[in-house]
Formats: sequence, C-alpha cells, structure tokens
Amino acid sequence: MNPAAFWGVNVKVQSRNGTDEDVKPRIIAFLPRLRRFCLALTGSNDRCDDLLQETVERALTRIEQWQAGTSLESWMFRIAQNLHIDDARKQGRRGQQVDIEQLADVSGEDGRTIVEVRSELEHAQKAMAALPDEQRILLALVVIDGRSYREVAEILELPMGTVMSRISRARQAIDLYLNGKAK
Amino acid sequence: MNGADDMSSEQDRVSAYLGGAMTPTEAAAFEREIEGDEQLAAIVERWRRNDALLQQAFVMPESGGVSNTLLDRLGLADVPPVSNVVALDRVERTTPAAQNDNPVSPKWKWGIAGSLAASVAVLAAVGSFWTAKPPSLESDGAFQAALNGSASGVSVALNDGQNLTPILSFEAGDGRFCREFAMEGNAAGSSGVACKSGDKWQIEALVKGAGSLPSNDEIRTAGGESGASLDAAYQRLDAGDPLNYQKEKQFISDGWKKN
Repeated sequence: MNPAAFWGVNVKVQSRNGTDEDVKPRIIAFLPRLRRFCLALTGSNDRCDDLLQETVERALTRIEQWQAGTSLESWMFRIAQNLHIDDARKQGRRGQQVDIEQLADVSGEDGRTIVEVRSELEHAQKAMAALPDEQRILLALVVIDGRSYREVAEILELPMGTVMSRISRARQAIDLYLNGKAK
Repeated sequence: MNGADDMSSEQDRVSAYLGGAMTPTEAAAFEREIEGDEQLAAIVERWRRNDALLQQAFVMPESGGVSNTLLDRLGLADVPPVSNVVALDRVERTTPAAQNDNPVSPKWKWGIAGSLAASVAVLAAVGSFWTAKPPSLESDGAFQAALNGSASGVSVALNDGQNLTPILSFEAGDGRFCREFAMEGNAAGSSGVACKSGDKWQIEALVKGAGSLPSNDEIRTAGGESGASLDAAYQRLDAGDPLNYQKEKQFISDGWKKN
C-alpha cells in the first residue's frame, strides 16, 4: 500500500469515553521504540525499516481491530512480531545481516577504543541474531525495551511460564555466545 | 514471583532476578544466596553485563526520534512530531568521551555539569522542583534500562514519546552511583538525578520545566538555571567528580557494581 494514502488523513478511533482520538501522533511517539524492536528482530537496518513500514501500514489499515482502551503499543509490537515471523517463514531462515554501521554512535578517546567498542557491540548483535525468533523477540522486549515479564506475556499472549523459560534459555544462549559459557 | 515452581534451575532464577520477576522477598532471599555463593554471583554479574551490552548494541542512530525521510516513507510526515529531536540529535553527535572526560576539578559540579546540561539541551526555563520520587517513572523498566545501559550523551526512547539522555555519572558520598539525566518528550522536559540503590535507580531530584529547547547554536553558561536547581541535590548527595568515559563504560558493563 502506498504510504502516501495516509497523508493528511486523521486515523481516528473512538476512545472509551466516547471521544475521537487521532492515533497517528501516538504512533509517531512510539516509533523509536518500535524501530529498536524491529532492529533487534531483523539485525539489519534495511530490513528493520521494511518491517517498521509494514507494521505501521498494517496498524493504520486495520486500526479498527485495535481495541481502544488497550495498549496500542502492545498491539503494534504484536503486529511486528507476526510480520517478522511470517516473513521468516516465506523466505526461509536467511543468514543474518548484521550491519555494523547501524551500531550506536559510539566513539572513544582513540581509534583503538572505537574498534574495541564496535567489536563488542557487533558481537552482541551477532549473539542476538543467532537466537531463534521465539527467544529473540522475548529478549528484545525484556532486555532492550525494558518490559516486565508480565507485560511481555500480555503483549505476546503467552503464559508467564513460557515467557520465563524462553528468556532464561535466551540468556543462556547469549552467555554461551559472548563468553563461551553455558552456565 | 508468581510461579516459583517454574524456576526449576539456577539459570531460571538468575534470569527471573535480573528481569525483576521476583517479589521483593524472593529477591532479597536470592541476594543473600548470591552473597554466599561465588559461582552464582559470577553468573549474575556476567549475565548483567550481557544485558548491558545488548542494550548498547541496539541503540538506534536516531534514538531521539525518527527522521523526516522515514516519517515520509511511513506516511506520517504530515503529523507534527510529538517531540523535538533536533537538540537531541546534537547529543548523539557528541562523543561520550568528550562529554565525560573532564579534567578533574574541585569546582566541577556546576561549572562542568551546567555546561554539559546546556550542550545536551536541557531546559531553557525551569518550572517546578520535586524531591518526591515519581513512582511511575522509577517503575518504568525502560527508565531503569536506560540508566543501566546507556552511556552519557546517548539518548534512549522511553514510553509515551519520552527520551532520556544520561548527562554524567558520579559517585555519591554514601558510595552509591548516581547519574544526572535529561528527559524530553511530549510535554515539558525535565532533568534529574537518580542513584542506584540495590538493583534499582531511585530518583533523588527532578526538575520539571516548561521552557523551550535551546537552539543548536545556543551555549548556556555554566551554572544555568537547571543546574542551580539541582545543586541542592548534588550537595546533599556529596557528589564526587564525574566519571570519565572509560570508568563509566566499565561500570555500565559491571552493572554499576564495584568489584
């Protein structure tokens, strides 16, 4: 769908108190967090922004499916997750495209520091990319976005026990990748 | 935690502890266990460092906002941005080293902090001053994660369109690590100081202002208004000199724990 279709159009929903609310400003406010989530899922800036665009388009075109009074952000996280999983299934499991240029604007006192920091962060990105989708999604929400286990369980509509065990396994895998230790 | 039965292994318990999924009673008991078990303590510290590294690895280049080009691509370019990210862009181009590697000076506190606060676009005007802790902010996992893992000068998006930028880090007289931070978002911006007690950053002071952001060319002089308002907190905390870039990086990696 052409994103320009949304230009100048207020995408309104009726809130619980009966007033109309334009959701586009809320979506814009949420974009940095959503984009970071997409980067953690895809491991590549290009694919991250593709996923971000698909997610926003899906949200705007199906806004009637969002229940006012519930979390718009959780709903969009769920959309991004589903789109990412669908894409992975269609494409087959592609090799991860870790884009070092997408690392934080890290700098240091000298070139050596920059290289060391970039190397550490690149390694961490690769560790994240090596996780199965089901674990990477959860770790992105808990560790990178700072959501509580209960919030993640609600966002992804998973039992708490499943959330806890998947995150524990993800942390063990990350530790193995980064430090060579399973325990 | 709801479901102690689910914590079938040591790793599960470490993960639940770091994820804040334990009740305060369970967390306290686990911390006592850590004190008496070096191997368990090592796992906790290593996993904490892993978390901090992951948080840093996925800081977006435009963490303070989204570019107009991307908004255009998303079909959202016609909506006025909720937050002004221009000044925060300036923050991200500033190197952490440049911000934190200040020469040690006994008079750093507002000479340095005032300049830093100005350079990262804190508030042009100061409104109310709180010493009460806003529980909603402290309980926000993203707020805790930002102070745990973000280097000074690197903005992190929180909930509801707010962005947090750590300004500098220092050690208080009571041995706690503290960080000054600036927040900018939907409404008025604010700046404050939070100190880490146990595993949680607690807000010691928060200045909320309704002023506009300074332009990129504006350089506020040391001892600006927001600095002056936080000065009492710095004095009360008996703040030491700001940590330099390398030390701050090390403490971020160590989960703000002293070895």
